[in-house]
Amino acid sequence: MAKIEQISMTTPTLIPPKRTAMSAQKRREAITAYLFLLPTIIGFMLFVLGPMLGAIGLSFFDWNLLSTPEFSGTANYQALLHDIRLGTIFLSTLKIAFSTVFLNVLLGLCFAVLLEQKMPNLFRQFFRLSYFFPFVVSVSAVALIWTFLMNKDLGIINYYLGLIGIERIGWLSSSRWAPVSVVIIAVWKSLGFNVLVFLGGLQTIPKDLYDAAEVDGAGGWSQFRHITLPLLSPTTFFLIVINLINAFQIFAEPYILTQGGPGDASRPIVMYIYEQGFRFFNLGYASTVALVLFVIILLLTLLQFKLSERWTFYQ
Amino acid sequence: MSQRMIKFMSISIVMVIGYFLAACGASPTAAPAEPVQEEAATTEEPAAEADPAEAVSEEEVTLTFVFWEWGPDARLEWEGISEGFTKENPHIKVELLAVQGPNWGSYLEGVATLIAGGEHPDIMLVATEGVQFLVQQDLILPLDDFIAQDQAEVDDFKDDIAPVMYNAFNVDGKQYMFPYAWNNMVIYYNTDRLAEAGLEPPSADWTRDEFLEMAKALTVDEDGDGTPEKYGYAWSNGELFPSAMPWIFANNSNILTDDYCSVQVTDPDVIEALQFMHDLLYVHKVAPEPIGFGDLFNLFQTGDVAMFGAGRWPLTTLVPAGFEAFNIQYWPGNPQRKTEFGIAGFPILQVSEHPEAAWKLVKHLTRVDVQEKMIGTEDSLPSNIPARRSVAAQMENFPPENAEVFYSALDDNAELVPAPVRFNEMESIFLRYTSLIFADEMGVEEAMAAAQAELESVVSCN
Repeated sequence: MAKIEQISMTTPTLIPPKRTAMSAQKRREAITAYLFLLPTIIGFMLFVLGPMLGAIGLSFFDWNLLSTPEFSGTANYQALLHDIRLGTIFLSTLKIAFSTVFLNVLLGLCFAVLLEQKMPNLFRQFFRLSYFFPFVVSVSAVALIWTFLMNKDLGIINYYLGLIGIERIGWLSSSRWAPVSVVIIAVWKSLGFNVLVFLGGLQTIPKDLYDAAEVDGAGGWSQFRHITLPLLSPTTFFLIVINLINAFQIFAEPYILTQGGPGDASRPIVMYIYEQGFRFFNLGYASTVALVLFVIILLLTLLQFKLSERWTFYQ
Repeated sequence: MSQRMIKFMSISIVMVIGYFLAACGASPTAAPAEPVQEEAATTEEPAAEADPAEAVSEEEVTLTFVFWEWGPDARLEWEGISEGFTKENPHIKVELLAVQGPNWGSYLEGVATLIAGGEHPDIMLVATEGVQFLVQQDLILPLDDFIAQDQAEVDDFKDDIAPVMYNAFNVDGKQYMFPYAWNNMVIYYNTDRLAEAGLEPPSADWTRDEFLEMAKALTVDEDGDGTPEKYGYAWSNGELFPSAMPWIFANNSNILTDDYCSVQVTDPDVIEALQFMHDLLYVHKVAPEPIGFGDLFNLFQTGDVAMFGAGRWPLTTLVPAGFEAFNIQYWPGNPQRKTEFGIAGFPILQVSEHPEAAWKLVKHLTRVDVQEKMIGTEDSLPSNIPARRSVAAQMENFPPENAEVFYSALDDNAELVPAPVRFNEMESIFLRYTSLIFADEMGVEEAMAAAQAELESVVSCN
């Protein structure tokens, strides 16, 4: 007992300080903050969390939209393991997604840096508009025009390639080129957004860092390598995360351009989920595949956050 | 932040939530996946010819009617018909529910989503492709009791349509629908291109060999680089109906047995038909890679494609564009000709609370004056062919010159597009493999052997 008392006398007190009552002012501020958050919370619960929980539930049922759902245990998960198309479709998705992200970020950075160079303001505005315009037009309308341009035998692209001796390419009809075409359209469509975000990032880099580097004799490439790239790393990280999530959900471009074909060569997983759910009325199985996609995107995003600690530099 | 600000924000949020809830409550058509537009096309104005005493005595009813809005003309057509119906039956209003989509398959997806979303239509437009599915799901009413009530009217209609059409909606001895409109596959040819090539128009009894010779003569390599710039024939591979099926039927075969219980895509005649299509692309080089119908119609008008297969629907593009240099002919036989057809009709849904009123509308849609709305005008022609033979005969007053081919093809040798319960899945599997054949990435026999295995899991009567 004496020993205990001794310890208690020598050990600093760990009892937390008494919580003081929140002042009326602070309470009002807290309520205001929650009110600001409320629409987002309600929206999230109604349109994200609710459907997500619904999808988890549905994955244990057999439901064709019109009949009463029947509990099927793990049948949908077993079907998933035996689905011979799923591997090819996931592979197509991965190829399309990573290529799209890589090109979007790389070209977005290049064009943003070029747009930051000295040039007449009119040109700058023209180029900015040119890059951003595809981002705001309807993907369906644009994809329809691309189908005409990319037709192997009657399309304009192959006509001009033919003039320089290149044989006709099956942009939309060959397993080799159809995914490439999807990536080209997807990058063309979303490049403007990447350029815009990179431009924003570039404009936050203090000018005096470049002035100091110049005084120290650093050339253009050296400045880009040691100032621009590190200070743009949070922007780059943001764009990689956003682009990857979007790229895994790509749908309209392949749906209109190639219908996922030939075979499953350009069929992304989201298109497969849509077909299973709303074309073939296998809502339970579609939910199961959707959950797998959710887990993959979640893991990839977490991995990126983990890896980003090594290369993202915050001022 | 001031109390006033908090009060203002609270009221605003409550209003926003209230708006959302009200919107959800008011619009049961907010289906999760398919874009569905709702619009009431009703008229409360009683017609001059309607008997006011009768109108007062009958109960007020609103029928919900689902239709395929394939374009702006579709809405106008149904608004006109529903207004005409309400004028004659002032106690029955018709509320139109539009489901959009590029084809019948996507329309069916939209309707299923709509019903799953809580909507209970009384009557809906359905094509051949969706009938077995709706019957299997027990969603539509057999009409036999209604038919017995009004046998004379039904007989008048039956006498004026091709028997194959009426029988197409008979499942297990029960009649679920009446044919309203339909389409079959014929060959469109560009008359200017034929004249340039010094070719006579194809005859009614032309064969596949003659077709091939004509396609070769119409394929032109203008710059002599070994690849043509103008093609003899082209097709769209986005759907089963207008792509491979007509050639398979011309070979007197089918991908399913007549009872839709078994798959037979490895049948030698199916293989031969697909090989013929493959060879059009890669051996004879008379066809470009498959292309969507929208582009195909443009290329046909410019003469870059001289022939293609379709039903009446290209007229909705060709006629308003003022294009006149075309005609149609029966699908070429190999050696006997056969035409593929599909029909649309109007089942009454089991959930309907007003089946008697819906039956009145069904009968209304079989009338001569209503079917005549499908004839069209000099400037605009609808996409479908009326079911009534007497009405369809009026199509001969409009382009194309051989318009009588549409209906007469049904009388000699017609085959309904194969439409099992899981039509969408069957179509998707078949097209996935034909896309590999037409990309020259898989042999026909190998592709059909793989397709057979997959199709057997979705086509069955067990």
